Amino acid sequence: MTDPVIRARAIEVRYQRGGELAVRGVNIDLHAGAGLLITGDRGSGKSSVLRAVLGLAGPGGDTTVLGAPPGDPATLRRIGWAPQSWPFGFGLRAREVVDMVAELGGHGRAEAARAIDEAGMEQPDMRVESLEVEDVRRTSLACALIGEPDLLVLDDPWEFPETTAAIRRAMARGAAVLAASKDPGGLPALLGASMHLVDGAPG
Amino acid sequence: MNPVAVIGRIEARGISRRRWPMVLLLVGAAIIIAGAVVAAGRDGAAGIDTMRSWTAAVCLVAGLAVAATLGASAANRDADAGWVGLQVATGTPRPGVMLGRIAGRLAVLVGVFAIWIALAAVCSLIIGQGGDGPLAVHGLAMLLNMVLVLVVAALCSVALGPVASGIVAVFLYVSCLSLANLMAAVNADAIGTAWSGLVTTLYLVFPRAITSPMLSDMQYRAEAGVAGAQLEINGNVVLVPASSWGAVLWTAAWCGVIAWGAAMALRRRALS
Repeated sequence: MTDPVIRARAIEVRYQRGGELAVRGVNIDLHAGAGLLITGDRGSGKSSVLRAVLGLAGPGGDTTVLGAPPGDPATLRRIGWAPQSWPFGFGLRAREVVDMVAELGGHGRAEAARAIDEAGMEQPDMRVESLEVEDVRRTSLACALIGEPDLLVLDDPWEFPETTAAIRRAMARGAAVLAASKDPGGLPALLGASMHLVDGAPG
Repeated sequence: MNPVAVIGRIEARGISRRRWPMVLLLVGAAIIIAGAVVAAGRDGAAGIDTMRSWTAAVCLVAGLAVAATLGASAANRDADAGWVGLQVATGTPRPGVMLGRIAGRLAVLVGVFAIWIALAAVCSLIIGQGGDGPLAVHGLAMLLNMVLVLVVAALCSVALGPVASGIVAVFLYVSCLSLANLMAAVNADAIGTAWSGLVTTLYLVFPRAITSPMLSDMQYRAEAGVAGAQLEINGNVVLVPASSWGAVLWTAAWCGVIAWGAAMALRRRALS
């Protein structure tokens, strides 16, 4: 059997030195072509697990992602990240955000345009602060779809037909998909496996 | 394109479309134009001093507001909201992301000062004072001072909120300005020798607030207005000399070191 895309043992996330653990004791084995949905209430640590996998929030424990430690720049270029809420710099147009992610990842504008189309963004030339929440989620999804990554990490993905189709396509070509959602809907069946968090630990 | 340049370009573009930089730019421009109108009504040296003091006030007060606000937004809120995390998740090393964010803000600051300096030169020409090279040199000197404020605020923004970051940066600039004044007093034997060693040491180590030849002259004559009150210590009027090229290079080097420190500081910060 090939090495897992994500192999994590006892993930720990602590945001402030001496502060409480936001996540503890989470183990993940996610293989190529497979999916995992993390569920839980607001504040249960779902997003923190995703940030730990990406190396954005300091992970404790033993974690490898695509064979490298979390946060390794070369590995991050193989990961598509769709953050939650409103994660874009104000003043920019939605298209410029996706263009930036594509350019930093070594892709051209054509790839950004493809991702915008695939995510179903309806108003890519509108400034991000003026977008409807639905278009914010689609912009976030488009950022993750650039360059056909080996691992899709989706934080609070809304269940648009485009989201479902993108997850199916990714898993069909052998990419792994890790998602977190408070309202899972049809995602557990689509991703095939799920983990429920309570107060930062598997519950 | 280099990732630092990509992030710098996108940050500069986003910030320049926001309302507050435009408001500060226009307020500064309006004051410069108002200064030109007042200066046009005065003859000779009085008119020149008026134009220069109003523009110098803009470079100091509005410049501080622009620089502190730009620097103070370099990390904190964007790091908590996920924007910095999205940039890092593209595979750009964290120091590169922070340097790009600082570079974009520097570009906006340079743009604002370029517009003010150019506007002042045009106004001077229109009211018959010529292009006023000394005023342009003063604008460049203040730009370096404001770069210092911006990078200090950016460094603070990795750990502090935007308001605290801006306040710390302005406080540091005022401290550097005070040190330059005290050093001038030491050189003029206007303060006791007990303090001169400490003042000299601090002056040599810390970044130096840059004083232009124009401001030095106007401050001594008590014509600089808001930009520089006449320095009087123990009853003696003290000349704060124009900064040397060595001081300029020292402060520029400090700016580079602080920007590098900000880039390194982001490595340890949790991002959303």
